[in-house]
Amino acid sequence: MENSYITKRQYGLIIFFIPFVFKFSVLPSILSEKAARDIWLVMLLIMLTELAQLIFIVKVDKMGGLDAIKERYGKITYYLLSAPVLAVMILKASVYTSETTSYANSYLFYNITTQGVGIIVILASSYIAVKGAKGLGRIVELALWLVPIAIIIGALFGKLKLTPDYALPIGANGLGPIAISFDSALFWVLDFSPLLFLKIREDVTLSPRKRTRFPWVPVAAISSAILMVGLYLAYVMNYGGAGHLVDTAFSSLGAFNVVNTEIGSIDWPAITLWLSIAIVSLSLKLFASSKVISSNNVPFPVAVLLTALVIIVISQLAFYNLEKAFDFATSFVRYVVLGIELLVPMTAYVLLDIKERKHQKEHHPLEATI
Amino acid sequence: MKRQYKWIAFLIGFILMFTLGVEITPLSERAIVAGLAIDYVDDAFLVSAQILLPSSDDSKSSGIAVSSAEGKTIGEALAKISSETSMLVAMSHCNLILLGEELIKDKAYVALDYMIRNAYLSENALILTTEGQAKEILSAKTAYSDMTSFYIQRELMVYGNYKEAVRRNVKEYLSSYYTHNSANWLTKVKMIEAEKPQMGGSSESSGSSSGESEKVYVFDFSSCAVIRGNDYVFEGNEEVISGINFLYSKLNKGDIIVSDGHATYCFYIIKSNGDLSFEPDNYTAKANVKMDVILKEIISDEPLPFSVSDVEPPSEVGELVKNYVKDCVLTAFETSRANDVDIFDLYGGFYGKKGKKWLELESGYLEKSQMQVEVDLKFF
Repeated sequence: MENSYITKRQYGLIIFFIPFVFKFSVLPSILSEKAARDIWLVMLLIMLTELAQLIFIVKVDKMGGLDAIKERYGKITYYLLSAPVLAVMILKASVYTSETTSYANSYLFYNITTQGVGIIVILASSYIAVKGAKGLGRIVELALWLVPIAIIIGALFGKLKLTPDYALPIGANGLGPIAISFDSALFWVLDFSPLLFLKIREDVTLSPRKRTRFPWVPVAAISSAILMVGLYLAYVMNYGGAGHLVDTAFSSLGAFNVVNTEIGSIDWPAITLWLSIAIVSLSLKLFASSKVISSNNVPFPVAVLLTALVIIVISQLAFYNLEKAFDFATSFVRYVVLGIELLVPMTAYVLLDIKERKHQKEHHPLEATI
Repeated sequence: MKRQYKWIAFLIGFILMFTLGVEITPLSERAIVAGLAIDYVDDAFLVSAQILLPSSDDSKSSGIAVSSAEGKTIGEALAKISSETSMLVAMSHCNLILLGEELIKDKAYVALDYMIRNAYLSENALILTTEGQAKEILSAKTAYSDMTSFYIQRELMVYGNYKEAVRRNVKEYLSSYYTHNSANWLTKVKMIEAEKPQMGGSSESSGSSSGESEKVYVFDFSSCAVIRGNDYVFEGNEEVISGINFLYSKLNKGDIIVSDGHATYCFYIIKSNGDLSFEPDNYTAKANVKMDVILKEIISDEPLPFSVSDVEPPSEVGELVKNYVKDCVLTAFETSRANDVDIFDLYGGFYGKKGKKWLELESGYLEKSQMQVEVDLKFF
């Protein structure tokens, strides 16, 4: 069953949403400890690095994704490239599962264990992963509707009070704190790697004119970068020097500071949006990992189940609380993860490009010479 | 067949989830906290919670109660309340926190640590201080509502837009705490004994039908506690509150009353907004207040030389309004400065404008600083 094809629009929406999830929960608080009012500059650096990775990933996907490596260079080259990605996906998914369960555990329920929430999160993510690219694409399309709902409710009832002075002066403490914060955030930097296992195809439901015209990928990538930097700036203007005390940014700022009424709060649009995209993000990592495992003649659903089991075991045993997950994510492992996530797409692109050029040369020798 | 596997997977998942520990607490066993009062008595926290009592059918509340307990920590006191009421204290609907006068003397921030760590408590929960014990305020019977915490919330949600009451929430308190001077302020609630309101013109009171003379109260919000770091510094009067509100709040209600010796004028604030700009080199902060007002009433024994259709009073009267606003802002600034409190965070403004070079100028900045107030007044 070929379950890797995704339309340009869905691909663009995934690119738009993915950075929002785990970069806008606990990360702003961690970055605030060192970079304080300059955390939005750290996010700018993060997004630029992420966009650099995305350029290579999109190019690889246009040439058929990592599957094309298997077809053109054979299984050994494919495993050499995909095995490190598999390890990274499992580690990242374990840390992110810990983050998701910790949030759901402390905010959404009274007296529930992380194990219970973790199982539900992984179960939902596994189901979507089994459904493949099509399922992932449909869910981000549905989640998109939560954006205007959150904005409308926030605009009607929200109490976001921004103090621009909190963001000034810009970079007064020099590059040191910005660099230190960027360094500590490396684990959260490159989240587009699972896209290497997707293949883009035209949306047959759209007219041929619309199919080619709208530049979904660049628009989504740039909008996402602007949104993330903007959210971090709003975070600084809202919390000032108390930014390090906010444990889930999206829950506070994403809900326009939580609507206050006599009976409680209306923060569900932001929470639903975040949780939906968190599960999509985890599903995407499960999907990518399972693609590698299933390439070795393991049925895809079995591969998903195996990967899910590994993730749930790691997240529950090693990262049973958020601090354990962060200690791991900020250890030397972050450099390994960053290296793999940068080098694999670049190498894959170079390899596929060589084959592409060779192919062109063979089929159009005169043009190639000219 | 595939569908069967799907259901089996979900079934296993749910069984695991429930066996791994989910404690289901029905609504009837939850003490839903609507307001919290924290006092510091004999080296311990006295925590009082106004709770909605559940009824047996789970669908509605059967009443309200204030339950109190002491503890070395706020968490411990709340646990005792849970134990005494045999209900789980649920904080997610708590939107009001009252800090007692004794507590804010040096432990306001200490008490807030529980609020910061408690994921269920909204960072938008209103936070106030009280004259005397916070417990007394929370337990007081109000003249116009059954529930003190809802009554205070309503008062502040509505009158927080007036110039006479400062509305402050946990998030704002923390943001101010983490400024250079840690200057902060909280509205001070005072109880005033009131007469029971007469219902429907009859002589029967709205209180208990037994006719007992139970005391009822209304609340006054016209003063504030000014705090620096962890220490309560002084009590700001109504002018200080108005000065803070003219600069920090977007007002859309409230009156300004001025007198020129011949007549007293009352103006209604339609819209008011203030901002600050900074000139660090000469330690000057410029406040600019933009205000739209309506001439609402004139009290005068003599006939005045303008008709009711004139919306703009003589320019001298306009100047009186401007001077009133200026005086309020300057009083807030000067009174605070006299107590070494940088109430408008001038340090943050100067630093924001000048950057690192400000550090060379910062010594004794508060004494050297001056405040200029401009009022842009429009009559409608």
